[in-house]
Amino acid sequence: MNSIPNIGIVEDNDSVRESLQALVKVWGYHAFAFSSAEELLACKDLDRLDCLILDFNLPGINAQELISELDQLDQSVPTIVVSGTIDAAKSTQLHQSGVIAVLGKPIPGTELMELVKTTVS
Amino acid sequence: MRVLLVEDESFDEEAVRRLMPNDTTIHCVRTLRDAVKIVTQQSFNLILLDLGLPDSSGLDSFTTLRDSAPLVPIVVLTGLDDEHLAVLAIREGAQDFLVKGYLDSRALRSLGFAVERDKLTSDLLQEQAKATELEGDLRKREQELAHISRVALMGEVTAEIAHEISQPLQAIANLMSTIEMIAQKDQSTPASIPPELSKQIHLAIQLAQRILSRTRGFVRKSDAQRVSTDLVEIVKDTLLFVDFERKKHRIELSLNASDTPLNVLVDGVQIQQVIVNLLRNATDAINEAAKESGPIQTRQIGVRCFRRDQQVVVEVEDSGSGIQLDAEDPFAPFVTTKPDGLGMGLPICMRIMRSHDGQIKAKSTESGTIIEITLPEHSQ
Repeated sequence: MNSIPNIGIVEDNDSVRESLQALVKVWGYHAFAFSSAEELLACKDLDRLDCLILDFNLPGINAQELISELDQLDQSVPTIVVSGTIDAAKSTQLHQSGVIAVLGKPIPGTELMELVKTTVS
Repeated sequence: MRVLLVEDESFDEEAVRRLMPNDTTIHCVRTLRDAVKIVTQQSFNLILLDLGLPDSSGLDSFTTLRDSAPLVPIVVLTGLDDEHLAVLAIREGAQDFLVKGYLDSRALRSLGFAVERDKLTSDLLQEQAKATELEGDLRKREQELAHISRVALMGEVTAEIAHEISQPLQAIANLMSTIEMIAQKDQSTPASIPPELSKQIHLAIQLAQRILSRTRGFVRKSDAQRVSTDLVEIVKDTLLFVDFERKKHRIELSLNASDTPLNVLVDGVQIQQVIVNLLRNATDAINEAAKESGPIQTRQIGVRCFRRDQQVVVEVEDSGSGIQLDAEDPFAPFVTTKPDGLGMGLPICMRIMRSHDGQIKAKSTESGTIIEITLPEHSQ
């Protein structure tokens, strides 16, 4: 595949979202940032996303619900969930819904991007 | 019944003895000194006191004996010509007076009344003392609750601040990684970052983040305390808890709650905290509105608990000025319209609700604000 991979970011905190966007771009990818799950679902080009970096603690529709919703729309995207605090049960549930990884915050930037790289290659 | 008769004249003593029923034990002394002495040694149900005694006369006889036996009812015996003295004695606390020479069945009845009246008075005093004690207990409990709630609130504030600081830290870490990548890609840039420096910056960020997550872990150890509870009960308890404040601010409160239990899986103290917070906000909003509209301001808070699509809902509606919803997000930290507010109340509520898989929303109405919290219903 020659085209540049598209990476989606869903994160409600402005500074974290913007810094992730910068990080994704500097690794040579296109970055599409959304501040909520609702915003992502409203996007018309969902099928063009190659990988999704998803914050676990979202207002409104939460990470788990978004993943199921995308599944139902037949629009599943390989997803990496990042989270400040998450209990084992929820983490297991996420893994069962097929996410690639659940990373605890503080997110190690390089590790996250290596994971993204593996996902899209 | 034991009666102490303080009387120096045998004739009058005999009259009294004839008057009293058979089951009465009458102990007669002739001087005030003997009377004062015996009331400290023996107990009596009633004292009959002639004011004119060899060693004392007039009102002094009464007050001296009263002070020596404050708990025993005293009925004064007087002659026909010194009734005014008897009236003075009654003002000083005598139960009644009897006129010598008229000791008949009516006099006896009034003695019975005197004893009864005294018993009622002392019962009443005892009840009052008990009530005061109970009230003290209640106030102590209220203070303890307030203390617990303050400590818990401290924890919440700490957790919230830790959470908020961790966000920019995360951003700094991401930006640092970005800058490193730029430097790595473009080796020709003379200002490329020395690897040692960037490593130290990452370590410093990690340290700060570890401190924050440890702080959070320290204050949030209550996840295990979630129990299935009727939310209506929690709401009722909470309303009781803020009842004093409500009355102080003259606020009318109505509760409209489902008759059937609305069970949720929660840490009750945390949910109470959310509700207290909402009620206090509602009170503040009403007080704030009253500053503009004055005494015509309606002072009402409505609380509703109900079920909606497998969710349990609590609504708190106030008759205040309404949140400026189009302004800043009221749930963002450090956003406040109160001059002395920290702006942490609603963000903390939000965090508590989210950690319970619940939600909190605000909407303005024509006549105030409704804040709604929802929690998943817990079925056993």
